[in-house]
Amino acid sequence: MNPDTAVMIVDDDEDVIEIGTLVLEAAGFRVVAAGDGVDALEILEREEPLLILLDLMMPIMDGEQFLQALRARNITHIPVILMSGYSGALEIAHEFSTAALLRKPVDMDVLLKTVRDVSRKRREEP
Amino acid sequence: MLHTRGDVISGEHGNPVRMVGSCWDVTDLTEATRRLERSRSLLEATLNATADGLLVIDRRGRVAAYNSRLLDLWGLKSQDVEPRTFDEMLAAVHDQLENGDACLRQVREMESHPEAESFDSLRFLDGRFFERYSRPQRIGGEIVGRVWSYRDVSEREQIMRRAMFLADTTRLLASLDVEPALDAVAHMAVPYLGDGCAVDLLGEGGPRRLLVVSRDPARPMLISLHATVLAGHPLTYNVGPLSYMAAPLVIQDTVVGALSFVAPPTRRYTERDLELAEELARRAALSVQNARLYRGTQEALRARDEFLSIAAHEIRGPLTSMRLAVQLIQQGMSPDALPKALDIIQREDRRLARFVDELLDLGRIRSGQLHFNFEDVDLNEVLQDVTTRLRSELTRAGSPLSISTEGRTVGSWDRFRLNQLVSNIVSNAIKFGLGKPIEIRLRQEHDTVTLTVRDHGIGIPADRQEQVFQPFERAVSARHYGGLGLGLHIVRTIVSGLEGRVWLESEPGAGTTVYVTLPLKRAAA
Repeated sequence: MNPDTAVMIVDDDEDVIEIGTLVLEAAGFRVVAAGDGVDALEILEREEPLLILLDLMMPIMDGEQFLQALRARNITHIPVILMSGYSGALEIAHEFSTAALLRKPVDMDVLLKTVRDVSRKRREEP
Repeated sequence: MLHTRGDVISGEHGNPVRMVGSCWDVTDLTEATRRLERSRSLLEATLNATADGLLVIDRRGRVAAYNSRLLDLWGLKSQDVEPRTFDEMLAAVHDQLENGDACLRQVREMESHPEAESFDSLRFLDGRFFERYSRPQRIGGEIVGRVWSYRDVSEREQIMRRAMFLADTTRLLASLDVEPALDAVAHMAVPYLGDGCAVDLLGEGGPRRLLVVSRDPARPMLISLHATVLAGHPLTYNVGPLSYMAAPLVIQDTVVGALSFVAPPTRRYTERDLELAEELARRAALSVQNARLYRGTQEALRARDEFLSIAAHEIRGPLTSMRLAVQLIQQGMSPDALPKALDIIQREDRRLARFVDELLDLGRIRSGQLHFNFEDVDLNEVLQDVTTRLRSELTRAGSPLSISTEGRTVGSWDRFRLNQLVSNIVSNAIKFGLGKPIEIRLRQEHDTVTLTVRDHGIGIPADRQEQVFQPFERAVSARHYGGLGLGLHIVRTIVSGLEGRVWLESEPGAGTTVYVTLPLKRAAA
């Protein structure tokens, strides 16, 4: 697999990770999964995904805390797509200038189009 | 009527020489004298019957007339004092007044303006309050003196001051910020109601002195609250030079605190003072209740909003997975992925059904309609069922499970509710167990069985350990852990229906142990 095609899903809902993986793999992406922000940071030390699909309500380290941790580590070049039903998601999206905000439940074509758009933009960047 | 008179006129040697007789018609004079007598009698009767003290002073400052009420009001006795001049009288009362000099000034002012009328008030050191009127006395057109009248309005004044005090304190107590309001009220009560005022509030640990206001900070009010007041009874008592009174703050027959006052050394509290303290306490209690209700409402609104937000989250999760799975199948996916997608749909369907069940249970608990169907149930069997069903969750969490039982443990319980009880407790252990080992023990002793579920996860802070049994309460932020916060509330309700007991021991970072004891047979059965 090409590391450039890796999408990281950060979500505590195992089923979301499982179906997200099926959907994204069927579309040609590789998926790395993390159950919370701490898991995700660990993975980021080893590899760099093309983009991050991030849930907000998670144990241990929630989505907002994860975004703060990214900022503190100066990891600002990996685009983040928020995927959440959380009512404060819009504020967080603005605060951290995330690449996109998807409201759960999300349609597959919207999810795929957003992931493709964001990853294309990332690849086009110098 | 005729008045006659005869006189003998004597000569040089005393011998009568002549007789003179005279005769007057005195009808008018007699009538005038009688009228004068009647007027004087009427005047005296009126003077002495009036509730006001009256004093007439002539232009030279001499007392022309006064009534007995005047002497009563001034605390003078007619047999001791025969007032002759106004100055003598004023000198006799000067020291009784709060501001004797001002009283004198007003008199002098009136002396220099004989034609003027006056109205002012006199406040006595003992708390009495007089209104004073004066107007010139005229005969014909000429001013010959001045009539002063004094009216004791102490009672009216007291009632007005009490009414104003209550109105002012009530305005303060309308605030929802109850502690500063009580502080302001205590500051208003000193010195009006005493030299010191203390406010105690009754909490779980007994009475807590919220605040003390003392007129003299060097001599703070140190008297602690009397047990009688805590029992809900107002009281006054005098010990040596000390006079003290206290009134309980009562909300719906429950004592929530008290107001207490200590009097200055010259004052003794009366029934009327206590009535005022009780009225103030009633208003303060209403304020405390008002603030509590407001906080309760705010809290309920916050809980509702949080509940709705969490409920939405709980539905959106499974819905997301289900929708993606369905759309993936519709788009024609690879055959080997199909069973996975179908599994997901089935799992999400169950999650949503469980969620709906939980909501329905909450509704039943709220309306007291959670019914139990008692039958012989083996708790050991229920435990095996639950752990088998939760096997995949355990595997995902990575928590090794050990179960220690003594075989069949049969009691008269509701199978479905027992299953739910065990399931909720074990699910919590998995959810908050950080993937560490979970130990379950089942022990029967005499007629009671004890279920113990121990995890080594995040634990619960001491101050949240009781609250987690309340609906919508959680020991963790909803941002971190989903769920409606109903699990342990449902557990407690079921345990109570089964006449058992549930409690927990926990330490943050070390884990939680939940204990459930259930009687094998119901006492009621």
